Amino acid sequence: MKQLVRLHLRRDRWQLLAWVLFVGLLPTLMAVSTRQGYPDQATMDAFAQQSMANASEVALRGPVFAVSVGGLVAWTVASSGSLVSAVIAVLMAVRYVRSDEAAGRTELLRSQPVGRRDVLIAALAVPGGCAVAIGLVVFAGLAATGLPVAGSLLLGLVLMGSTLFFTGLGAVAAELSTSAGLARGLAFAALGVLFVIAAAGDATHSALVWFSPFGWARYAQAFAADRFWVPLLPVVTAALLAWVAITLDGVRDLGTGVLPSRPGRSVAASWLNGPLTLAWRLGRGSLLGWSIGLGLLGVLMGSTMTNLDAQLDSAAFRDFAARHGGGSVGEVFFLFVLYVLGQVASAAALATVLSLRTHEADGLAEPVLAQPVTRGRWVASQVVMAAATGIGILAALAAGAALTSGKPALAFVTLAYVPSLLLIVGLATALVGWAPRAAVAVSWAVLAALLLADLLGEFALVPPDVVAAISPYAATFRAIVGSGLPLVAAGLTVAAAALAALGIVGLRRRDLQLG
Amino acid sequence: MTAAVETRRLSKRFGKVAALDGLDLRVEAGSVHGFLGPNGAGKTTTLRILLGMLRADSGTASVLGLDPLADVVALHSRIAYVPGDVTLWPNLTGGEVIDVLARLHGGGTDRGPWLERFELDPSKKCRTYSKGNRQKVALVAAFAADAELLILDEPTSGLDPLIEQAFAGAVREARDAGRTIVLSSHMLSEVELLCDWVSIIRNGRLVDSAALSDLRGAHHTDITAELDRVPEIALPGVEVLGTTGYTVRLRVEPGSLNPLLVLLTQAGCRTIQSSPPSLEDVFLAHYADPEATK
Repeated sequence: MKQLVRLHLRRDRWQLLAWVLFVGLLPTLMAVSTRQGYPDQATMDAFAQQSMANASEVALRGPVFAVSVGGLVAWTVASSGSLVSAVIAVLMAVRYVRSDEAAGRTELLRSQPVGRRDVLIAALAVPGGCAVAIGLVVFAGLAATGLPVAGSLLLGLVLMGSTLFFTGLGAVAAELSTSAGLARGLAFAALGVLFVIAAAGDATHSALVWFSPFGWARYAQAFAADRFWVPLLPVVTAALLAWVAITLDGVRDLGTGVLPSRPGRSVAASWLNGPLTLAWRLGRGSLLGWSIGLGLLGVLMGSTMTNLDAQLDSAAFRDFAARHGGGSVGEVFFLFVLYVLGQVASAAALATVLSLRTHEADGLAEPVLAQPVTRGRWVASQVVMAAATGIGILAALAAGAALTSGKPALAFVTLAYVPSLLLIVGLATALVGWAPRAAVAVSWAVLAALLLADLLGEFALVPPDVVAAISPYAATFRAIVGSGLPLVAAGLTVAAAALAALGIVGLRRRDLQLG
Repeated sequence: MTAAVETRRLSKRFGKVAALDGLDLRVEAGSVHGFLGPNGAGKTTTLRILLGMLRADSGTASVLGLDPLADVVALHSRIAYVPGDVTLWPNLTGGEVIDVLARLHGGGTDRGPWLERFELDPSKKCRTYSKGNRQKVALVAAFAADAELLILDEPTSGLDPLIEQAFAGAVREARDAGRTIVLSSHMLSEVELLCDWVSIIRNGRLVDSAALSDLRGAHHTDITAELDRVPEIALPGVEVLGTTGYTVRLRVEPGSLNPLLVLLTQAGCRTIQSSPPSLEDVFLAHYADPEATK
């Protein structure tokens, strides 16, 4: 058991360390920057007032419970930090439970004299231990900056609780499905639903917030009411989820899931006849899943827009809307949410294009490239599929929002993020061509860094001009509320095409790095 | 005869490791060519260079008269390949994979008889296939393709004996149909059973390349004989491995076989067993002696 935990720690020590430090130090970083950005009570009051006037901020982060450095830090990171840590916790839990089993590593371990349950418990103990470490780092970091000890401790417990909850959720999803991909899909779908529940709860000021761990993270009210009993909710449900996972593990056979794996068609569909259609066959599930999700979100936002206009019709918000390009307050709200959703669609497209690299490493590229298929055609097919994935997702969002709100302009601004997404795809292609071993990590790091830059720019901790210069999303957002969109879009698209072409050139001249 | 595959002074390094160190390989068209070597000898690297997936640091390679790097499409439409470690798309069925590969190859699909011969259920998701079954998917795709040259990287690993027989039959049929087969292996029995010609590779260099018959002939025969009396055996090219009572065990070079038999007959031969050198002996002889690579 101890050996198993050590094995996981040894294997992933850098990833785990990066996770603990990134999530753990995020609140401290925010505390330091908040002190610099908002040096006195007046600036903090103004910031809080403006934020609370913005419905999207309220939905995504909940209300500000105390206008102090601690209160603002808690508001910024309780829910958002939980979201980041939740995504990593799910990935880690699925990795240790299902990916290891699918790769046959679990079989090897189980043949050793270790208990049946020990393998799963060790798989949960590692991300669970990281959750505790995150809590400690949060607490120590915040207390060290001079914030109240009670609030610091509570915020640490909040992030620990959320991480534990999603570790359990990931484990249950991994027990249910036979493939790691499906397990991640199930867990992320649940995560999305839980986040939307919290957002809906805060947008409508209802008790819905109490049905989501993101709501719990917000309503622990660190640095305000300091409700220390709230983190008990995620911890207890996490224990419950772990118990469910262990029970499921006990009733199923090694290598199977609780959900059965059905036989499929024995003859390929007649259209499945080339690298492009193969890329479609392999990627359509992701495209479809994301499109339905964001399409529904579009419908939700579009249909509530008029309602929102009436609800948010305050002087403060009208002023805010006027400063962001005018339009009704509902439309401005949509613009802000869209900014994030553009990055979500990019993430889906990025995952699709990066399968070039993962397939190269795991051997799936070999049978295709042994056929009369040039590398250029192989790369181009996957790039087209990635672009189609991103565009399809945005189109679903655009259609949902425009049709239900009756405002075609919403579709237009949604699709304005297509060039940004293409740039990310192009960048990833270039990296696969020229720096294959680093491509996956660097591509995701770039997207994460852009998200972070946008976050910092949003709080004016980094000058918005700088952010707009490095982030295609920020540049697009500026062009939407300002002017010059055709130029920005054309520039981004040309850069994307050039990067993709560069990637093809790189891939043609290097060796394939097969597993 | 024409060469289906020809490499000259092929070298390839991965960092500090020299995977290939001046490999000269020639595969005659229409033959079944065994490519033997221990793990890490450079077999897979060679095959991947022949497929244009890796480029050699120096030396030349020509496959079916074409350049593996420049003529990818023209060349690959005449080749079928089974990788050493078959990975398949987990969410596609075996049947779908076979069809996709056949269509990428550009040929028709006549997979039915092959599915039966290799006893493969095409409706299962690749995720659920064992290693042997994934191997069978790749073999069905390769044999069903109308290819002049089949490149098979350790094709029988993971197959059960019955399927191995089906595979052997398929290889013979392919040869009779005039196809060329390159088969890498570290399984000597397999090469012995199937191949006309053998190239032995070690540390990225060719150790020996010969027709199977010549490879045998170049080496010894083991003889165990029970005699009326044990004579003094001091013939050149004959090594006495041991004597137990009236039974002697000998290892003899081909040139010394006749004089030895005369001697044994004079000694009153009651029983005699002779075993041709197994390829294993040839193989081990090459590896036991580092000088053999020089």
